[in-house]
Formats: sequence, C-alpha cells, structure tokens
Amino acid sequence: MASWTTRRSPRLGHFGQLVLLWVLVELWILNIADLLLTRYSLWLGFAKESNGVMDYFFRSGTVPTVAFKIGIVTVGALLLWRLRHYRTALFAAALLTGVFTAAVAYQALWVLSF
Amino acid sequence: MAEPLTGGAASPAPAPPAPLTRGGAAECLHAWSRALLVSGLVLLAGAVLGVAGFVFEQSRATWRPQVAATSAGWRIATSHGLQLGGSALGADHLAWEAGPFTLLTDPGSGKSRLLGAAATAGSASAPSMSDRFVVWLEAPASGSRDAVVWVYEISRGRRTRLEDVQGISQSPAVSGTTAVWEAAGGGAGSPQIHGADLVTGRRFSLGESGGASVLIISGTLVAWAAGRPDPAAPLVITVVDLADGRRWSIAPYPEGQEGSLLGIALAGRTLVWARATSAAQADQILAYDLDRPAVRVIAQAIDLVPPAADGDLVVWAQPSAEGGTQVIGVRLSGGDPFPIASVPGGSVRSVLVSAKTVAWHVAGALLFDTYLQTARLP
Repeated sequence: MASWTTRRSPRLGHFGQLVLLWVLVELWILNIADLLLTRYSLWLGFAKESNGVMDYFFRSGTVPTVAFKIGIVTVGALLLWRLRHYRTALFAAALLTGVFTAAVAYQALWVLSF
Repeated sequence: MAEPLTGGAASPAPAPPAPLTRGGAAECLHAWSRALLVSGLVLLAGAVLGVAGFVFEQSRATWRPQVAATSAGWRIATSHGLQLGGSALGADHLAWEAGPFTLLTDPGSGKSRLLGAAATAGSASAPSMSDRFVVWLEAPASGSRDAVVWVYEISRGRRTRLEDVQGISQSPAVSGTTAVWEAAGGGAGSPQIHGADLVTGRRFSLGESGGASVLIISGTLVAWAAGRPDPAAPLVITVVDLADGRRWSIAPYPEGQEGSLLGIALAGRTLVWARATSAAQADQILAYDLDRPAVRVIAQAIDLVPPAADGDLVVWAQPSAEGGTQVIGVRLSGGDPFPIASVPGGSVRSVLVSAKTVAWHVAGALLFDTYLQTARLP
C-alpha cells in the first residue's frame, strides 16, 4: 500500500530527476535573460515594469535588482531540487520555465522589432 | 525508536551500483541527452506561447496605420482613435507621431515601423528627419523624469538615446548628420540650443535660445524663433551658420504691428517664414536670402498653411477658389508658383517636401479623421 506522501505526490524516477535538473538550469539562465531584456527595455523607454516588487528594485539600482532577481530564483530552484523526489517539483519547474520562456521570447521579439 | 516514514511493505533494497564501464558511461550520457531533449520541449512550448502572444498583440496594435495607395502616392491614416500629429519627410520615408507613438513609413511599400512609444501617458514630439536619421523627443507623463531625445538610424535600424533633457524642450531637428535640440541650461536654467554630429559624436552649443517656439536645421544653418524680454516686441528669428559661426537676427514682422509667426523653413540659404499681421489683409510668406540681404514676398493669401522647403523649392497650401485647398510650390531660383495637388475636403494643417515627394496633413470634420497624403512632384 502506497504511503500518504507518495499518493499525494508520486515519486520521480532517476530520469525525471535528470529532466528536473536541466529544467532548473534553463530556468536560471532564462531568469538572467529576462533581467537583461527588461533592463534594456526600460532603458529604451518603451516598457514599464508592471511587477511592483521588481519596479521597486529597478528604481533602487542595478546591484539590488541583480541580487534580488538572481537570489530569489536560485533559492527557488534549490528548493525545487531539494524536492526532486516528487513529481510535483518537476511539474512546478516545467510550468515556471515555460512561462519564463514565453516572457523572454515575447520580450526578445519586442526588442528585435524596434 | 524512530517511526518509519512509509507504511506497508518495506521497499526493496537498492541495487548495488554497477561498475562503470564504457557501456555504462554511454548509457549515462544517453540518459542526460534524453533528459535535455525532454526539457527542451518545455522551452519549445514556452517559446511558441511567447511568439503567439507577440503576434497576437502586433495584430491588434493600435499604432499600426491604415496605408492606402492613391493615384499619385499614399494616404496614411491612424486608427483606434489615435490622432495624427507632426510629421517629417526624408530619405523616401515618412516619419510621424501619433499620441505616444513615433513611426516610420516607407511610402514605396506602405510598410510602417514603430520607432518609439513613450511610457504610459507620455507623449512624443513631432519627429525631424534627414536622409540617414530620425530624431524626436519623448516626454514622460510627469515632470519628475527627464524627456529624452532619441535618434533612429534608418539604414541600420538602430535606435539610440542622444540626450536626457530637463524642463520643457522643443522638438529636436536634424539635417544630414547634425542634430540640434533645446535644453535647459545649468544653474540659471535658461534654455540653450545644443547640437551633435551623430556620426562623430562631436557636441556643440549655440548659446541661449530665449525659449524657442520652433527649431529647424538645414545644411549648416540652424534657425529658431523666440520671444524677446519685452512681451510687446515681436518674436525674433535667429539664424546661425555652423560653418563659420555667423548669426542673423530677423524680425518676422515690423515692431509696432500686431502679428504672429505662422512657421519658418530654410530653403538652401534662404529663410522663409509665414506671418499674419494686422496691417495686411492676408497672410504672407516671405523669403530672406542670407547672402544677399533682401526680403521678398512669395505668396499672399488668407489662411495660408505654413511653408516647407527643400533645396530651392518652397511648398505651402492655401484655400482655392473652388472651396478646397491647393498645395502650391515655387522655386526660389526662378519661375512662377505651380500647383501640386488639390485637396477637396477637410483643412490642410501642414505640408512637407523632400526631394521629389510632397505630403500634406489633412484634418477632416471629425476629431480623429486625420490623414497624411503623399504625391510625387510633377
């Protein structure tokens, strides 16, 4: 009989963990790309940071912005890696990475179209 | 004693690790590659979503104009309630402003490109353009941030930030590779005219402007109109030759008369301006040759539309006897004025000319019924 925890979040096999690792690496790189593209778009003047927290950091300066954005995603990625035995971790990481990719692709096209 | 975390049957003991062989290493590498491939699918799905969002947004973009071919050129109209503002012609392109947007339209193909979008609730100035560059000013919604003078290099498709400008500033102007703009001076804050060579980056200052109401440049000549300390005195047009530093100060209408300056243009080394005075029944366009100081009236009519000039050609618009508006041109080197186009409805707000192309900005009866029409010179 499966345990309560296992029934709530099925276990992730070795291959799934490898996928999770790659997804988290991609998420981390996409986060940097998002930061650079947002910074560039704000500098160009045709974008406005709609995330209130990030808007505060962008106004505070480059170093706090970089520290916060990289720091929070690194911590999140490490947390998900800590939960790598659960399939939910892979699902969450894939969802986050997909959304980040969409945002970065959209921003890159905007910048290129200018 | 610690409770086991899982109930039920004990899980089987893990298999002892297999000795690392060439086959095992290859299998491991294969697993990593497959995992990378699967994670790539996540990227692909996200990228498709992002591209789809971008395409969807572009298809519903409010800035995209309606461009239609006419028998003589193109008719460019805004949509989504955007009102067409100032515009400029050059390099076979048309640069124009609509609300916060600055756009570049190729009349040859009818395609438009978004050059700039001022931040939320901000505004863009009328653009100015030469054969290589477009310059314009983007002002923020609040006075807490500086306005920015932008430059767009047409051939490279590259947009760069030229200067942050404090306070109120006039639309920047460009000719060839030289751009000029007005900015508040340091300390006292009296506005000054600054300039830059957009290729070499060399900066220069032309001194105090007195608060220019209009700023233009053609070749090495820069001209602006500004009020004088005495509010009763007429405006003064200042012309500076960047080549040798010579300056001219020209009163557009006599002192003691009530008048207004409708617009200025530079046709080669001739200053052209339109004025309305209490003494004259009609508006007038005058030309002043800077090298042979002499003024002559080149047009006189009621409700003249301020002139535009390119080389020795001066173009303006005036009401016609038939009830519409006539776009007319004259070459300062000689010859009679000649008709360029007839505009049957609406009122012509401004005219533009560059090389062989003339354009006019028409405002219809309805608030947002504005359009630009282009035609090739006969």
